[in-house]
Amino acid sequence: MATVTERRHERLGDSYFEVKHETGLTILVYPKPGYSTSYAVIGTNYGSIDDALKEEGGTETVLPWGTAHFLEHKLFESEELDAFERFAETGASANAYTSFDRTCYLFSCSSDFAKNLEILLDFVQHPYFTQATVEKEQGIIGQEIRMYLDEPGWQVLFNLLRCLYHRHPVKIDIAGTEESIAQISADLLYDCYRHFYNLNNMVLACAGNVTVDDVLEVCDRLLEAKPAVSVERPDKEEPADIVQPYIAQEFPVTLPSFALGFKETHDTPNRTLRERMLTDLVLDCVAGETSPLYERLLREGLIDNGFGYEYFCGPGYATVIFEGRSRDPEAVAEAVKAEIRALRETGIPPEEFDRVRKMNYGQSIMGYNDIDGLANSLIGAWLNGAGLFEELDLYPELTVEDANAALQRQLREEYSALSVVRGPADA
Amino acid sequence: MLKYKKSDYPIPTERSGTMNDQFVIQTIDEGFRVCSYETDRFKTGILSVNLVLPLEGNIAEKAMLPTLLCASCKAHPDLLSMNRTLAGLYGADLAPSVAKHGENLVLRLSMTQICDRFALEGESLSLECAKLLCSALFEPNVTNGAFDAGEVEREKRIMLDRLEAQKNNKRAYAMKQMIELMCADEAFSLSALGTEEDIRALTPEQLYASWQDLLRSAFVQLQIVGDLQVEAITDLFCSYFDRVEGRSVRRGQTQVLPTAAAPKRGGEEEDVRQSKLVLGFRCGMTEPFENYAAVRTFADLYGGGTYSRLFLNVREKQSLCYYCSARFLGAKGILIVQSGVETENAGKAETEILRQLDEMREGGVTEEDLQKSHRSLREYYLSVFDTPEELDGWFYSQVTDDEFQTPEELVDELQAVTVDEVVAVAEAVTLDTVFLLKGTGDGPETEED
Repeated sequence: MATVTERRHERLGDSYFEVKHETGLTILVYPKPGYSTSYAVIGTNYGSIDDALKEEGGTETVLPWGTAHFLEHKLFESEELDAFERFAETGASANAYTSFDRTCYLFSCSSDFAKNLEILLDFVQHPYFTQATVEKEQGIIGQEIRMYLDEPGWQVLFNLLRCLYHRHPVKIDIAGTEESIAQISADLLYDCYRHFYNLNNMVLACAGNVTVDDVLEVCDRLLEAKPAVSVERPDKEEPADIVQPYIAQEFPVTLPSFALGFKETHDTPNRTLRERMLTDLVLDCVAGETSPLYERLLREGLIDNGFGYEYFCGPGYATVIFEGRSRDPEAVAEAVKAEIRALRETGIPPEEFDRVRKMNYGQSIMGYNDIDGLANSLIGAWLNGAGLFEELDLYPELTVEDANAALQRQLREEYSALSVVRGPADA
Repeated sequence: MLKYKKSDYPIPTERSGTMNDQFVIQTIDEGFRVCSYETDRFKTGILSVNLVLPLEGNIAEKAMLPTLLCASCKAHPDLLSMNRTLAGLYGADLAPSVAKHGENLVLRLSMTQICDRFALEGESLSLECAKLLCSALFEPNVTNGAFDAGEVEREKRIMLDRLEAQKNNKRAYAMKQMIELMCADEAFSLSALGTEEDIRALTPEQLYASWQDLLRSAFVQLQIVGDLQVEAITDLFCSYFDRVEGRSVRRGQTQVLPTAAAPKRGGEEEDVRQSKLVLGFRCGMTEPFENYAAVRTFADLYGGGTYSRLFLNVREKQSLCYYCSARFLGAKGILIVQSGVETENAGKAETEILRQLDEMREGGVTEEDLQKSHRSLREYYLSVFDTPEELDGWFYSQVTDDEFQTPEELVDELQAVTVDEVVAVAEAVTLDTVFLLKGTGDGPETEED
């Protein structure tokens, strides 16, 4: 019998349940009494950055870029009805996505949860690839790749990542390139599937109008035990330095877009929850809506309200990225760097730190309404080896001293690069 | 102080929870309505004030108001001080927006906040937030009949940048161009942000006059969702509206054309790889939301879900488009098909999109397809109850209607739609305009240093 562990948060008044199923699958269930919909997502710890297949002690096979995303598209098919057609029968809305570090399949529904979960677990466990369907998909995904080549916001980000990373595949479009996907075959997809879609490497998260018993009843019937495969993520051997500090691309845009990145290196592949939260607080103090820098850039017309930033991190990569639109991206980049230097000198004002900490706590609370957000956060927390509620409890522990120490270590100019996309007239 | 009329619509539902969990619509007077949905299911609440004006005249001077009002107020006279106040309210989000709703312009200020029970120091957040929203709307940072000149300049720049940025989103840009061509003789062709020329010419005095006109003549819908203090918040807004002198509400009428004349064609070229093909249709309607359930179902079967004709045939079977979908704008009574195509396939895609419509007219709609649509739309509308944003959006979607409908009531109407009714809609639909944003490039160049 699977053991069920309840994780409860008193202030929130919520609980979720954690189960390690005997087949190896981790199951997380967050019931939301009174909700009419339920949401389920099954994910594998396999994304676009996994460009090699390596079993413990085994040899390494290089995978073409875009394989994870390609596999995601193809898994919906079967010999008979494809998964979309089966979900159309129940009325559920289904989808899938591939990101840098994971591939996820999901549905939401307001009735027939068990039936829908059966469909989800069934198609994810039963791949069906043929050379003919693979070739057809190469055409469809080729179009998708070309569509993204027309998106200035997407290009400005990947141009930046190519400036920062020598080897790490995070610099490659999640869908790969037209050349790389041409190398994908049905056999290769089966190899990847057997390797990465082992239930020990996967997690199922459900939230909303659902109970643990509802989920386990279906899992016990549908999950098929297979020998465990232990998946390794080989080190990408990414050097600390950057490739080049600047890139510009001409695009038919009327207002230039930019992305300014600060690459980081670390001894461990993943950033801890505490490190990520502290970085977010530091960034709010540097350039958030309550910062003097933000107000000044807006007043001087150097940014618009699309300006933002994020701590972009995952297995083997961590970069702080500021992005937005500006008639003068170079001036914005200079202003951000100058503000970082100044704050390093003076230190972050304690009252400013307290304010952004309060704001971040409130924004965390806001995330607990939304069942699809919750289910995906459960997956994210599991991939990071943390519990979902740890974040809320950590806020009171973070201090302005921690933030100032982080500011000394992070956001180093010598590892920064600027990527710009601008129209022919501005180039 | 205005007296409340007894609620017109206390609509019981079967949802659990210790609070009301029901839609309540209170008509305060002919120009002010309060819509609330009290529930403790959520961690957050949303309070929004939606002000409706006819889509006419100088749009820029109206469209600028929400951002200007949210940026500061008398008590917090600059952006930094306003933002810091909001951060101190646990990151409450005061968001401005402006959008067309048929031929109405809806100006909106909304406040999203965490519930009082999560405040770490026992603050009464819901009242604090409501007061701040009232300050933003009724007590702006104005002196001598004018807004602050510096703030106006900043917001003008932001607005002009937004207008420019719209052109960078090729999908949205192609749709906007199609609408301008299709509705050239209708108010609907006006942009919700106004024209570049009008934005550049805005003055602090003009915006002050426009703000006063807004308070005097807009139809107002206050929306309260979550565990907030509905009565106290309603009282607060009533007391403010009571002080507005000479209130006299002006409401707009949306022109709905049932059929198109011969199809119009338009296009532009751009140095991008893919083309965007947009088709606009009239739907046989003569007023907003007429025959809504049947047309909505038709649109869903034509180009809505993964079982729709455009998705299954044009995208999946023939791989003609990367995306191809239909969208029904009920408030204006038009249907828009959007697709992304390789330039050499644009002609083929257009033929195929129209052929799918012909097939629906000629017996192509099956009972089985209709059941899929019934199930999918039912799922979609019942999920409205699961987030404060969706509930707030549900009220918003009916901001120009005199009668209120619950999601369950709409679902009942949708489930009753028959194959014959869908076919009748397909027959009544006429093609009005085709717009092609033609990609002529093989990709932009990169320069490095």
